[in-house]
Amino acid sequence: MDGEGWPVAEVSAGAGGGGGGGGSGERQRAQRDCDADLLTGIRRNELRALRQFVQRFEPILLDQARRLGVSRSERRTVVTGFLDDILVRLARTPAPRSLGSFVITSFRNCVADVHREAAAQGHNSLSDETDGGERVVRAGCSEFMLRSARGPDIEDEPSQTPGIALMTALLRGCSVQEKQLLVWSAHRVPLRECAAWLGISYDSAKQRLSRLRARLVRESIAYMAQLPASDCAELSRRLHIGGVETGAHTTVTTDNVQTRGSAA
Amino acid sequence: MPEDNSLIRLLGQVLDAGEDCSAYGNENFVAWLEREVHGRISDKDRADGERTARQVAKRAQGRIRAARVGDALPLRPLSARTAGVTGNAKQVARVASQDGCAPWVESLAVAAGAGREIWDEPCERWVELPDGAVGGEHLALTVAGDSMTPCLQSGDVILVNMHKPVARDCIVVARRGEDGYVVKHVTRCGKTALELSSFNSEYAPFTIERVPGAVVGVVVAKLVRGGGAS
Repeated sequence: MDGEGWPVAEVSAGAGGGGGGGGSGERQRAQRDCDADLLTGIRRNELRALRQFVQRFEPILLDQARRLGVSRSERRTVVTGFLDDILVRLARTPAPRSLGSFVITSFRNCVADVHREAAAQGHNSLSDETDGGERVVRAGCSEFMLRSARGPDIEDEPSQTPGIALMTALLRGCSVQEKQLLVWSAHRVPLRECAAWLGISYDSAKQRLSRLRARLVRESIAYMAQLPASDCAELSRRLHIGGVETGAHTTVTTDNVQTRGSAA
Repeated sequence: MPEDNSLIRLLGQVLDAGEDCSAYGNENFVAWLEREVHGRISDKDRADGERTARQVAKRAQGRIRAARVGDALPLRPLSARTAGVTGNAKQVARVASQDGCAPWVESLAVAAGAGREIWDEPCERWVELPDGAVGGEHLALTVAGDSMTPCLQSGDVILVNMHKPVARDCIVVARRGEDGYVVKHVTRCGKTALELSSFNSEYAPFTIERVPGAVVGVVVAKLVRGGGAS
């Protein structure tokens, strides 16, 4: 009954990371067929299908939980609770268009709810090490991000620190595709893969990323030029810790902009 | 010299830690992520994952069954009053059915009370049969224990029809040897035996012989307090 695993689509990475193009469509079709089989098994309440689903998604959800700032001690509980609920939901609702996207998006919403609930209850159940903002502190943006990630504090009045304002302003100006590119870059997806997923050539993707980088740095500098010297120095220092060089920790000038390793 | 993507990655991390899910709408990215994450799993994590998968799958199986059966089990208001006669459940049942009621054996909860007979229990109250409850004698019982969660919780009152035929996927109140009465889900229904399961995966399924008196009746409704109960 529950001997061998449920059939899994062959999702091996294309050679050299350039697996886009023709193979991608076939892989996607195979993945969809496999997802449909898995969902049918879940609907029939078959133990091996349920187990296969958990084995497939649990590691990804644990990784997402880590990225979303769920503390190490709470991660497994949150993921297991979510899996319990999503399996019942999948068994009773129409099949989603893409199983993977549906599960991850639902989980992200679930974690957002957990964060909101924790903020509403007033006790911070997230550890310092993993808080969404805290990770950004390590990356260089300090207290401002910490507060923004936790949501408004009851005692504190909402604070719009330079770091939050900078990040918010930069992200506000990005299109959906640019946002996708940002997240994929954060996951270190090879540019060839990104290009294939966006349906553009490698050179176009490279150019797009280069323009995006140049624009973001330009906007950062323009923003920092308006700040008081102390805020600017602090922000620049934080960005420097995170590996981003604006050249503003000494003097901020629009023609002295460079990211580490290259002049922009 | 290769261009540096620190700012891009930093912004990507901020975006990824937020509530924006647009990047995950791309199936290719999700598939890539799966490969990446699965490729990084150590043997120890894999073993942990398999253990968790077994537990979650078993629990999910019970919960999915509970959701299906729970959907089919109607909720009716619990309307209880003092029985018109005094005596044991058997004596009260005779009068109650003529009055459109069913005896409520409050002192005996199913899944508890080893060795006691339902019909010998004193019965002081009865419940009015909800609209749509037709045919045969009924009995109201209180559930004890957590074996049937989330469909039935401890303290819930169930209405049992004594004459409805037992079928697969229904909930029954049955006698389990000397352990007393239990409320369980019928997962297999053979000519000579019944396999009864709990929705809570911590309780193992068991089989009882299909002999007269083994099954008290079929649960036809869950009676919800606050619906005019006195």
